[in-house]
Amino acid sequence: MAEEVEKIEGIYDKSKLGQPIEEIQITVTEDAMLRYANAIGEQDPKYTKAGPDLIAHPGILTVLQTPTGRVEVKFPFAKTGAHGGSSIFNYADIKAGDKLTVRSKLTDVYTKTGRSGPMGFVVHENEFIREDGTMVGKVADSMVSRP
Amino acid sequence: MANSVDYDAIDIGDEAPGIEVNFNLDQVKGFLGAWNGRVDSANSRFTNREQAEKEGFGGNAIIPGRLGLAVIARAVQEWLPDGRIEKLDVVFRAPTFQETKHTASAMVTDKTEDDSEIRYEIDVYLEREGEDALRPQRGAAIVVVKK
Repeated sequence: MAEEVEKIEGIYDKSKLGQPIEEIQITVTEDAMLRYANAIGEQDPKYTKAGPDLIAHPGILTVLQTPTGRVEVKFPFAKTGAHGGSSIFNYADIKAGDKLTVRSKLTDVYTKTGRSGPMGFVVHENEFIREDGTMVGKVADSMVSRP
Repeated sequence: MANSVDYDAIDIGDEAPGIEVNFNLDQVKGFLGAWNGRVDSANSRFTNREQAEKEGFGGNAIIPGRLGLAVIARAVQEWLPDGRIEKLDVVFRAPTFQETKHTASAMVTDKTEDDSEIRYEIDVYLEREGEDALRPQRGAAIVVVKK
C-alpha cells in the first residue's frame, strides 16, 4: 500500500505525517451527552439519566467537537469521498463538565485498488485529554476518496 | 459487577441478541443535531435521496457511518452492560440506507481472564435485512469487565 502512494509524488506534505496539526479545548456538557444517547436510541440509565452518575456513551467521541485543521491530500483520481471507518479507544469514563484538550494529527495515507478502481485513504487521529493529563480516549477516522 | 449477567457463561462463539434498527430522516436529523450541533442542508447525502444517488450511494438517503457505529456499540453494551468498550474498530464497507431494517450484533472470538477482569474480543457488525444479508459495517471490539 505504502509503495503505491510513493508513486504519487506531491499529493500531500509528508513532513506533516504523525505531527500535531491543531489543538482545541472543549467542555463536555450533560446536554450533549443526553442528546447523543437519545439520538442513537440508547435506554441504559447510566447514559440517559441526568445527574452525577451520568457517563458518556462510548461512541460519543466520534461526534464531539474536534479540530477543523486537516492535512490536505490530493489523490489524482479522487472525485468523491466518504467516511471509511473509525477506531475508538475508551480509556476512562467521560462525565459532564469534563474539560478536554483535543489534539489532532495525520497518522496514515495509503491507496488500495478495489472493484471500482483506486481508493485513497487518509487517517486522522484525535486524542482527548482531561485537565489532569489523563487521556480519556482516542478516535482514528479514515476518509476514503474514489473516482 | 452487576449480577444480571453471568459473564462466566459467556464464551467464545456466543452471539449477542442484537438490536434491530430502521432509521428514518427525522432520526438522522436528530443524530446530526447531536453531532456537535451539525445541521446538514436539505440536499446532503444524509437528508436527500437524489443527492445520495448523485454521490454514488444509490438506493436511499444514507445514515452517517458514526450512527451505525453507535448502534453497534449499543448492541455490545446492552449484551455486556458492566463492560467497558476499550476499543471499537469498525470499517464502513457499504452505505447504510435509511428506511431499511438493519441488525447490529456481535460474537465473542476470544476470552481471557485473570483475578481482576474478564477480557472479551468480539467481532461486530451491522447487517442489512434481505436475501444478500449484506454487512455494511464490520469490525472488532475489546470489552473489559472488572470483577
